[in-house]
Amino acid sequence: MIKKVLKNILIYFISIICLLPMIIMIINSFTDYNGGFSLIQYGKVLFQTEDFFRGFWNSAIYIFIIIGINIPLSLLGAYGFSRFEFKGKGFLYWLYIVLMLMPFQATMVPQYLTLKALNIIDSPSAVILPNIFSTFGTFLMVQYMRRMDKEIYDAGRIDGLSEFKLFLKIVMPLCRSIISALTVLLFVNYWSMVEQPLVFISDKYYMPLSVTLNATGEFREISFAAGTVFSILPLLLYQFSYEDLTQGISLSSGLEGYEKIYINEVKERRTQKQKLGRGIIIFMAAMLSFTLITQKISYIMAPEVEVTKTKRGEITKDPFDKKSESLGIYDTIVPNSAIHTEGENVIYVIIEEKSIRKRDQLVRINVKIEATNGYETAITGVLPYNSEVVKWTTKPLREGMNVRVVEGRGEENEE
Amino acid sequence: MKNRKEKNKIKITLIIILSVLTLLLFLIQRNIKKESQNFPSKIEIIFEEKNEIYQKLMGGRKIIEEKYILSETEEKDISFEGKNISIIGIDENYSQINNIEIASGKWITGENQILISEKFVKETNDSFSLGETMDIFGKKYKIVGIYENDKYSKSKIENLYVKKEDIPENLGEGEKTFYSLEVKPKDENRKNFVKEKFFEDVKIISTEEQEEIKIADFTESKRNLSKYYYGFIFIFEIIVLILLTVYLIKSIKLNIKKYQFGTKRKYGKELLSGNMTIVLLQILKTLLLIFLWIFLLRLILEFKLSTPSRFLPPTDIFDFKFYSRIENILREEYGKTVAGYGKIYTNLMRVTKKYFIESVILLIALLSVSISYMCGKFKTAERKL
Repeated sequence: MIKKVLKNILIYFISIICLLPMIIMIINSFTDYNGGFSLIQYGKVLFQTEDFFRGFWNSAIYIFIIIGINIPLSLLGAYGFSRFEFKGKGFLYWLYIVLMLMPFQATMVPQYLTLKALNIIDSPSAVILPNIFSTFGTFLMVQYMRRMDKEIYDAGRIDGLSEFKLFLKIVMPLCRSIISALTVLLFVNYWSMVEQPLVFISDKYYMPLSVTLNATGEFREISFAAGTVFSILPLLLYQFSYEDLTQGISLSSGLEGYEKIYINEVKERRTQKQKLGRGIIIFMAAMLSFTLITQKISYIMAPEVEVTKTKRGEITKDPFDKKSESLGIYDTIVPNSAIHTEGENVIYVIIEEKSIRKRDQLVRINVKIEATNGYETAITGVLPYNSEVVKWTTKPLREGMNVRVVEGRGEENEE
Repeated sequence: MKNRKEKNKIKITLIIILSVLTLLLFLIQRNIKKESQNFPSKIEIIFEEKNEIYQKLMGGRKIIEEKYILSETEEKDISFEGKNISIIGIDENYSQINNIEIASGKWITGENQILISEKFVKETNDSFSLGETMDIFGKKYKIVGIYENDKYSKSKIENLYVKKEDIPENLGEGEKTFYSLEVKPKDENRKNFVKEKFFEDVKIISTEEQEEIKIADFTESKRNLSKYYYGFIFIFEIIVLILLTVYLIKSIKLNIKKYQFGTKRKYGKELLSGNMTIVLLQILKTLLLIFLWIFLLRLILEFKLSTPSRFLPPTDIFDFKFYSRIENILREEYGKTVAGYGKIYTNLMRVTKKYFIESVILLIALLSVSISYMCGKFKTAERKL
């Protein structure tokens, strides 16, 4: 008895250790900067972080395309391997297994060179294309299909089915459980892919969330909540296809997976599955609406600014009288309103985001005031060439903030 | 069977309620937008005395008038025949900045003429009318025009307009005098940073002096109020999109079921050739709906609501402390002055309330008609069954 209790305690202890990162993540997601309970992180993630949703939908689209093409291809490949005899079948199958076992790091450079030759590097296809043809699916399906009764094919043949219809009407329905197992396995694999996008894509715009979540400073304050939201979908999907997953994998590995299931149980499982399916749809719909809200909110929240180019020339003591005493000739003259005093004198300069979106972002530059007449100020500092300095703003500014330039560029962005 | 019928009943009623509601809300918003056009887009600098800064600004009148329309006014708040009135001495530019609609008569053109409001006429039991002479503390004015009141203003002080030179001097005890300069850019396209640019363009008073004076900024009000209307249209679009999505999914599902059911009895080709026109029409309808769906989605995605970001928190939109702080500031700074954002928003609320009551009455009427119609329909359908 004591042995049993001790064993249980040990099991629970180990499982808690395994779950610890997840528990820490969830607990921390409900705290604010001071450590108290707050929903501030979720408020920021779900309503104000545009890049979170950009990443989320990138991940979702990548996965949708990869799984949507990979599984039919794997099915066809596996059908070929299991049904037909042809020359070189053994070698081909061996090749499939070798390719599956090959670590990504080993083939990274050749893959990069291939993608570069195909001219699709730095585009979403660079991530999608290599993964569409991954061989793991085929391998798993072949194992499963080999165990199928050959007499079914003959029966289908006798009923007048063509080869393709045989595949479509008999093999496919029988493979349902392995298909959902493979879907979950591929989903988990690609939902958390980091290396491939990092190597093949350089634009943040195309990065999946798994990369941007920890790579950018933007999520630093909200990383726990972002992580929690990020892990909801895999959990839901796993729950959704739990039965198929265990059944599919155990069948393909040669173990007896069938259990005696009563009709009531089947019905119960089916309703549970329906509920979970509905849950996934609701989650995705909620994410869609959050995306829309976030898009609008981040537009509203972006400060409106007016920019101006720096000037070169002379500053006079009286700005209205050009004949008054000169304060000297300077290289960089900005309007007085452009200088912010935040402990030290700083100016904010607009730079273009290094991405396909080309948003206007702010850079904070420390400057030294050389001379001023109350309206114009001569400064020295490390300013980019031909830089646009923020002259007026509707809000306090911060480094890295996205802003809306409404005036000062010659063209009006506002409607 | 009965259950489904009841469900359908609820659905139809819900759709009708939703559409009627949106239609009525749409009407409210249209009216608000119309009202918002009357709000002047100006900045107002208010002085309690003609101090140094006032003199400085007036000295640079020529510089100001290069880019702006400037109107100088003098306001005296007094009690007249038991009513609080404010006599506003205006110059020739005043009507260019403010929208005052004359109900009868004309605008002030000569000396000792006065413009009174419709409400003032009513409240003094028609003792003043067009063409009559009005005696204010010994000074006589001829009433030349009656202007339309701001419909939704609950302000108890009535404005009477006279020429600036004609403003009566000693009005006895309780007299309060304000001097204000109203400025509007000549360039109608200028929307942003009018207040900030004014001082840059004018370059008469220094930065320290700017902080001393009281400025009410109305330049964004028109834009903000019209956004209220666009915001509503956006919500309307979303509702339509959701309904359309549900309908599309359901109709596609139904068609697939129909096809599956049909193929149990006939071959696919046979099924198609028999109902070619119906199938084509169905496809056409679905395609049109999909195009409409895409169009709506594009509209929704491209919609940009730009509210005044100075009234939004710096980083977190759920920063409720900021909102309460800004509300207090608005109340303190603008609430007591001649007008301000506070007044505009209260006006907006009043317009909304007024049209809301109208809409509710209409809504009830429409609903009762539609429900009685529907009940009739259901009864006939039941009888047929």
